[in-house]
Amino acid sequence: MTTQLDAAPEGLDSTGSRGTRVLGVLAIVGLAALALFGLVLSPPDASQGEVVRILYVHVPSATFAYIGCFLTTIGSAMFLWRRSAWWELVAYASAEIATVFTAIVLVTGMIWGRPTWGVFWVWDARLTSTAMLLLLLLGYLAVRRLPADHDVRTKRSAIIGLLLVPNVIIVRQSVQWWRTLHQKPTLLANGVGAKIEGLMLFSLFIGFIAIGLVFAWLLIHRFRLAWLEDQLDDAGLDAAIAERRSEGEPS
Amino acid sequence: MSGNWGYVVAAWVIVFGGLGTYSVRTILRGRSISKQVPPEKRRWS
Amino acid sequence: MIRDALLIAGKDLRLELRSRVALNQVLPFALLVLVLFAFALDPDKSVLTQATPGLYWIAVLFSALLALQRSFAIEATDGNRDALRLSGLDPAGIFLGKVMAVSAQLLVLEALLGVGVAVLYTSRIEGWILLAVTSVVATASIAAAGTLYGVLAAGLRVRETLLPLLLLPVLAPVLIGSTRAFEAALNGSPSEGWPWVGLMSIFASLYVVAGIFGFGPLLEES
Repeated sequence: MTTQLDAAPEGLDSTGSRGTRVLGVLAIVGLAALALFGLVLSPPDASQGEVVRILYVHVPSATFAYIGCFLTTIGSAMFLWRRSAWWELVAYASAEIATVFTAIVLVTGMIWGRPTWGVFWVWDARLTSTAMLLLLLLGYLAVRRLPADHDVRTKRSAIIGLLLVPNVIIVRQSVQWWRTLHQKPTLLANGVGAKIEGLMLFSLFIGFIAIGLVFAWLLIHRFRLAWLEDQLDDAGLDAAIAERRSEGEPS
Repeated sequence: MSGNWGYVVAAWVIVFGGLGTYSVRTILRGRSISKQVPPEKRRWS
Repeated sequence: MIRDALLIAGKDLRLELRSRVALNQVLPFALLVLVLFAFALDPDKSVLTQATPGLYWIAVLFSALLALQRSFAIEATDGNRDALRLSGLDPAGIFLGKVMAVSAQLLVLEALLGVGVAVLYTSRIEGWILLAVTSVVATASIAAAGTLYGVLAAGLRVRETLLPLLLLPVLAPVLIGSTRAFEAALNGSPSEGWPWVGLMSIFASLYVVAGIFGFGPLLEES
């Protein structure tokens, strides 16, 4: 066993593999292309000016934050239905990545809102429900990381994960209703939904690819990390005891 | 060149910085924790 | 299932009648919140009257958190959770019973809190039917979602801090709905309030169904 492993190349003691290394290089190339097109080659928007460049990273991040949430709900459902530990780890890994992405989306959205609307925050349906989404994700992570029995936290977090997307939909619907009853959502009229074309559309397209590659790369690494954490959880106690014993022994 | 470049730069720095920090943390944690798990339990690499 | 539910609800309510924790601690807390709002917002300006629906439901939400903690605290002691599991009662029945007991306590609390609001904030109360229906539906929503998330947090060392984090974002639609419906009733335009009652009814049914199916597996473990 040892000889083969000793001869193995670098990357043995990591969550990386040849596949993730290729993916990582592609992601970095994608990000470089995104910076080139988003910051240099694409023209400023007619109405928004330079601020439109924020959207090339903001919109793809939002999309992949939502994809992460769906993966969490699907993974939780598969875990509850099929007892699949693999899906449980997918749910956990994507929930954590979705949390990072959602936080990024909120902050970049606020930075975009300041020059566009003159304020960092408006009580718009999209903003408000994204903020609630972040809180719901934090709740899921809090339960998944509880210092409790492995079965307890996976099962309980899976139920929260299962309810994640339904909750987001209900929250979003109610917030939208709440805002539109009082005022028309005019603020976003020339915002994210505005028509874009040419080099700007291409930059956004590059953004989707680059952020998507980063998402996939992170998901694989985070999944493997979660898998290792579980292994350690199982073996943890025995190993710790053995280690303590060997420490005490005179060598 | 308007002052709005400040917002653009801030947003991009946050995206790249945030993702970078999180990636590095994930990798480093993966490295430290892989050392504690026997290699035959890792199905990749 | 219904018989089991009534059994559990009766047990919880009897416990409350004997210990009077909700009456002696949760209700004074809710009234205290009303007074604190008056301290925070100048009572001489009309802010309090305008914000009455929101303040009222915030007070109800915070009190509901306490009531829910209490509802699971009585099961946590002396291995009651195990006894409940071994009792052979239908888990769905246990869930519904808990929801009923919490709802009953909350409805009493809401009625008394309503009197408190009317007296302290001198709000004019109108649109009784809408107010009553909103209260019932919102209470059912809070109790159903609260009981489901309550059992998720139950038995953990961090349950007191975990439950608000899990539950309050989920209950945001109920807070929005109940507040808007109350506003509509108090402004004398109840037709604007009924859609919110509909939304909260959907919410309540969703969580009752989720609880009926999800409570069994959750009760089994640990």
